[in-house]
Amino acid sequence: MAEPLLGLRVLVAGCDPVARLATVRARPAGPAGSAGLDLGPGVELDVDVADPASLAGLIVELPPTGDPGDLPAALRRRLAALLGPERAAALGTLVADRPDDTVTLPRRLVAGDARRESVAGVAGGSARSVPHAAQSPATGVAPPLQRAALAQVAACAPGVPRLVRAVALLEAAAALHEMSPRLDLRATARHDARVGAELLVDLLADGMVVVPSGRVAGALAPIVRRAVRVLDRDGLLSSRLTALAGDLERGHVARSHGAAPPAAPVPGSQMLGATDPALGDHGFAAAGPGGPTHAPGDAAPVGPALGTGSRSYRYPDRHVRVVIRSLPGAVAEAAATAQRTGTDQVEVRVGGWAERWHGLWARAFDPDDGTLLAAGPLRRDGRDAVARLLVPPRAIGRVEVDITDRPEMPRPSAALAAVGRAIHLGGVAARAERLGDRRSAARRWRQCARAWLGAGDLTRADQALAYAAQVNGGDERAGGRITRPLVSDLIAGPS
Amino acid sequence: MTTSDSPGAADVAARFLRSGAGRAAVRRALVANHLPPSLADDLAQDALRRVWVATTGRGAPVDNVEAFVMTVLHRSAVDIVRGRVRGPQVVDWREAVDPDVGEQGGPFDGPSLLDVEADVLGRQSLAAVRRAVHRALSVDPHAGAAALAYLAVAVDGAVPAPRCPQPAGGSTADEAAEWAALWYAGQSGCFPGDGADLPATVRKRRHRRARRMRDLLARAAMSAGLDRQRALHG
Repeated sequence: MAEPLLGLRVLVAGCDPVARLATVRARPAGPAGSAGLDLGPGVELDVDVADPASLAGLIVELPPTGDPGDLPAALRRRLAALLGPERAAALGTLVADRPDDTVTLPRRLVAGDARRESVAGVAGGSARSVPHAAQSPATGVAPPLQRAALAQVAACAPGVPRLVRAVALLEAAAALHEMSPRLDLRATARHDARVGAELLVDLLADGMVVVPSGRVAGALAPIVRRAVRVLDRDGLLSSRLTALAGDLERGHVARSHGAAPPAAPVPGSQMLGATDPALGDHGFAAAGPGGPTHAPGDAAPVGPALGTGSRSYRYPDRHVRVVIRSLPGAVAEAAATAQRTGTDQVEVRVGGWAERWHGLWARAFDPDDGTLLAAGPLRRDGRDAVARLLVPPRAIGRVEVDITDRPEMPRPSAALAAVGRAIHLGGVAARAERLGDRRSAARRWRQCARAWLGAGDLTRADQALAYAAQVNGGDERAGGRITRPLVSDLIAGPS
Repeated sequence: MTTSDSPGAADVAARFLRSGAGRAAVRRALVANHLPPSLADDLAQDALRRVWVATTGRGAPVDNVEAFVMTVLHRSAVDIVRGRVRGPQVVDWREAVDPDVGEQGGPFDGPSLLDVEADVLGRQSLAAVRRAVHRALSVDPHAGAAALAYLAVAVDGAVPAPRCPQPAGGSTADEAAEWAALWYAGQSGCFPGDGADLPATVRKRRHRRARRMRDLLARAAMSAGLDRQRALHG
């Protein structure tokens, strides 16, 4: 019998009959948070970003009405492929018989070799004895599921460069397609392959497919070829991708070595993104020189501004506050500034982000009551990403702006922003680990630990510090925790 | 049990979240996902937003609002642990795709609620309308962004920048406000000279998107408690 796709580690299951959800996990997500994956109707998977073999969560939607244990046949088959038939059956029993309890699901049961063991449940602290299998190697989440989840996060995080998005989507598609005999994820794979292929074809048209090295080109070519197989009915996209794969294999794709180094950050600034090699990895120079800008408020001055010689500023006190702590992911480390550039207009600019604006919005808020006054999508403007906001005259002198990929969300509280920041830093640390950049990884884990401390989560702070020590300790793969890099990791680089 | 597809569902959800049972549900969702208790307000706020999105008639009706709130609390908590990174099936990738493809009908001619009320909207009502528009960004961020810009021009008297496209001479102030609203919402395909489309195509696109903006504004005004009868008759 094939091994379960979620491996053989001990899993803990719980059920909320009111919310009609059952959850299964190995342990909670660590300091880098989790990467989610939609496995079809009623099932979602989360892997730990820093330890992707570890199941951070399997969410099962129970039938909305009637017997919660009466799972549809298709869902039961998927659970059997994921958990193994015995544990899937045990989950069904849990849901049907003991909706409020928490049990430990056994690893693979071996006939005639069971012993009882008391284990503690999760939230309720209830103990439950379960049959326990003999010791066996504790495999975790299947590698293709790990890669698909990590690649989708790499593709969808705010401020990701277009080439990284495109490649990450193709990687996710290839990994999902690999699962197809056991989990029918072809529709999801085809969606990701199509979107990634269209992005890649757009980049080809713009001359923006630039890879850091021959090694990366060699790693990218098979990903592109697998995407062609996933897109078996799309003649035009497939032919363009096939041609690109050939160019990659023959070394006919431009390399980015020799790109101009990014501008040095202003002393004391928080613009870590100014030294982000990902900017140079895309074949264009990073943010150009300019006078320093000031974003008063929460943070130290942010980064150098961009060339502003062609614009005239006629408005005294033209600077507008950018709420740095509200900026998601990599945006928080970008050269984000806001200036009044019209009677009632505010221009929000992110330096050097001409390839990273997709899906980002600038927003202007009334600081007195938090009302959203204006919102506008970022667009390319030369080498930068820019949005222009029209603000009510009474508020133009005191409005605050932020940038987000979720314009419908309220402004995050300080606590939520701190958690978001910590998770982002953990994700960056995990990527640096996969790339073998131990120094960057250790530095980012320590930053992550500080962020979790600020968010009030001592457990995850300690875990981040432990990862920093582990990376510094020289164990390159940290006992198997660290996986090999994604191709999109190789293109994005550490930061 | 409260069903959805009515303005009351969001109110029921809000009352539930303020109750002891609701606060306990928030705590459970945080504990289950090993998140700090300081996120309780954020979680509750996001749950309310999700309830609103689900009960504005776009999704399947919700039979039991309290149970639905419990579900969305859990999903909101998972969303936080994921760093609020959405999956590829949810992200809007195709900004180049014309969102009006398939829409029928000609330009919007009648007045909107806000046309009637532009002179009489009080500060509180205006803030309430803006909050409703903010929620509506969940379903149509471009129309919502245009609605906010329209409010800034038509109600607050904001002056668009000189480079903002303007309709030809003889147009109404309302039309000028629409143009500004669409431009600030990044709808560059709605204006002459910005692409290779025929003028008639551009004009139809502009009318459709203006209508989407007005529809969104009308719904926002209604959900903020403004109604046409009261507006017309005082």
